[in-house]
Amino acid sequence: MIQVEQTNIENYLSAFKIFEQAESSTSSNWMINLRRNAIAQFENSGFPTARRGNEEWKYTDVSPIAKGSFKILHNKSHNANQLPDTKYQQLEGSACHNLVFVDGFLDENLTNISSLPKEVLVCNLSDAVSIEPTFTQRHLAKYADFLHHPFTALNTAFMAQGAFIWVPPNISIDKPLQVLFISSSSNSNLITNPRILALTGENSKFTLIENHSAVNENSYLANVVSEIVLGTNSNVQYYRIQQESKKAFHISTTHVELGKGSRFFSMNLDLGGEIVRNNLNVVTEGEDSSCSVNGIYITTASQHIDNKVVINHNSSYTTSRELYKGILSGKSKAIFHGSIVVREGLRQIDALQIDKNLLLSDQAQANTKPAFWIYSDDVKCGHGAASGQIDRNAIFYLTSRGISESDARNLLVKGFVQEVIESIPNKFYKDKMDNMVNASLLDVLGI
Amino acid sequence: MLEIKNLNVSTDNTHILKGISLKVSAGEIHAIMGPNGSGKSSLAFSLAGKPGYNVTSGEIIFDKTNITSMEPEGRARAGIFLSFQHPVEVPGVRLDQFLRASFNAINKSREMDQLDPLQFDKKLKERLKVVDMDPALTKRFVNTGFSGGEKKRNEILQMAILQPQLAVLDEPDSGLDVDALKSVADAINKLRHSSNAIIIITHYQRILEYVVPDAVHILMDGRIVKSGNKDLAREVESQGYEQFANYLSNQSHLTEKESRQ
Ligand SMILES: Nc1ncnc2c1ncn2[C@@H]1O[C@H](COP(=O)(O)OP(=O)(O)O)[C@@H](O)[C@H]1O
Ligand SMILES: [Mg+2]
Repeated sequence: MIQVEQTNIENYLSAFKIFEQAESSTSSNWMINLRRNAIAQFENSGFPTARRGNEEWKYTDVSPIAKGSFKILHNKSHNANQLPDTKYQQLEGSACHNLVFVDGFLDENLTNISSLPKEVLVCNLSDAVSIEPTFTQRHLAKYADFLHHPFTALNTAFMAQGAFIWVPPNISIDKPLQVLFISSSSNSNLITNPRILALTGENSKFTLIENHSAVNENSYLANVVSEIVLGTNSNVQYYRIQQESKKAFHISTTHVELGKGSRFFSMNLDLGGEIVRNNLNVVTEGEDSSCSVNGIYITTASQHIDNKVVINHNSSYTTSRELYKGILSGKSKAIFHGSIVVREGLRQIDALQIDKNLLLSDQAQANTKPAFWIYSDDVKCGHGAASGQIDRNAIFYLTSRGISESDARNLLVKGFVQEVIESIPNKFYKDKMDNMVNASLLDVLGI
Repeated sequence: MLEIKNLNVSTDNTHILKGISLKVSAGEIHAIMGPNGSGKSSLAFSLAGKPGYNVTSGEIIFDKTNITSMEPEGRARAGIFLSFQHPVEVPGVRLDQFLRASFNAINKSREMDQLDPLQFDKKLKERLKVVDMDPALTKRFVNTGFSGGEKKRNEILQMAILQPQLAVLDEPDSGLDVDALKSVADAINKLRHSSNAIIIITHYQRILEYVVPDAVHILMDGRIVKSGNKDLAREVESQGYEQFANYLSNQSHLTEKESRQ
């Protein structure tokens, strides 16, 4: 096992040399070039720590990440037995097809994808490069832009293992496919660069769960990039469950391309992490496509959670719905940046963005920053944002029916995010999310 | 059952109720009428114990207990029910779940059986029929997106489920068309019996044609300026509230003199 201490950009560069060497036997030329491009880009930009003129990162200070000395693990170090069974059960291992990565490396023992339809290709990204070289080359890193996004560049430079998913035309997968990224190391200060590339063919349908979880309450950096491309008339549900250690840094980018007539539903659940930033970019590439992107974040103590959602309406007759809600306690802070971009010359665009926060302490802080760039006329675009404390009139209404004040509060807190849970189109996941949210509220607020 | 003694209520330094006295016995229906802003809802809120409505003097005796400083849930458990003029929307909380939570909280305080969802569902179905309400509404969030009429009916549904000893109905008629009004009045009549009492607050006399009161009180500027039988309601209908203005000036003269002493 080789470990390299990182203290600054130079150390990422020297780690890259070691990484490149370790990967050289399994990497094709285009992959080597892609990574080199990305590391050069990262070398150029460094971490986005500038506080001035840095709109993208204005509200999230990543200097603790830039200053941190994160180690890149070049070899599989864990032993599957270390992973407690209960943890795995808790992650609903049995209800899904599972592709499991522990500290960045595929875990053969926990992975179980044998009952997937045979037409479907799900494998380690590093294998996809040899199984489907042209296909992979055509799509990998073609959507998540690493030229302007340092964290994406860093991930792209160090990408090796991850999930490759291809659902061919007319195939629908019954059970969800869960990609689990587990941090298990007892060493703190590891960096992992999880990666997903998911592609769907015409009229296909599947559910992807991207689950980030930890065994120990360590500090580490998970720097995730997911690219999801929906073929014509395909239908994808995407659940992103972030339950990292409360000391972890979690930076993610999910880039979604919607083909003609495709439907995309997402639910982003943020429960863990000390500093969290999720970039979700959705592009309606084809006409008649639509997306419903939703999120719940439950923050406490000094957690900082920043969701940046950009919806790019690039085609006519496309619809987008955004509904994010947060429950904030302690000194935690949440930011929601929602941008809606409508290209010029489009017809019948319908966009709606809502972000609401429930503040349970005086020191908790929520910021909603909507931005609209609308270059067409035939656009219906709405947005709503609100942050506030529990509605006293509602408390009175409930207590006037004999319900105790504390029960009334609890009902209202749970009710606050229920609206988002209700938007989940499938009863099974609705119940799962409900359970997870309830467990988190119990953990955070004791309710 | 209920005795209000010289009740004075203020909110944020505004003196709203100025010495209200009222006695209601089991089996009775009292109507409280008055123009907008006269303090009808404030009286209802004061009876239900809404925070912010501070009793500066006087008391409320319910069932021989002084409840003047009791919290709202305590009053509800004691048997007081308020049907809101403007029922509150509670997004995220499903109506059937809320109704069961309420029913069980009250039963629990009385050491009576609590109902599981199945048992409660049976009861709920029964009561929905009494108030002629669409069962589908119970699967929606409390009052959220309900029409005005649906909200009012939902209040009466809660009365039907909780079976309070004293129901204070704050404008159960406002915003209802004739058919809806008749059906709400019909439900109220079904729920009245010899051991409970109802205070019905209204701006207009028309609901009192269906729910016939034993007594009518005219409230103006935080005072009961006149009490009488159901004919008093007809008087309001034909001549408006202005006729009572002189009672008001006489009385305010009186209370001013009293307060100077
Ligand atoms: N919470 C409150 N804070 C301040 N003033 C109030 C409050 N509630 C009622 N008032 C005032 O008290 C008066 C009576 O109001 P209300 O009881 O709602 O009358 P009604 O129900 O008869 O129309 C009005 O002048 C109203 O503005
Ligand atoms: Mg009123």
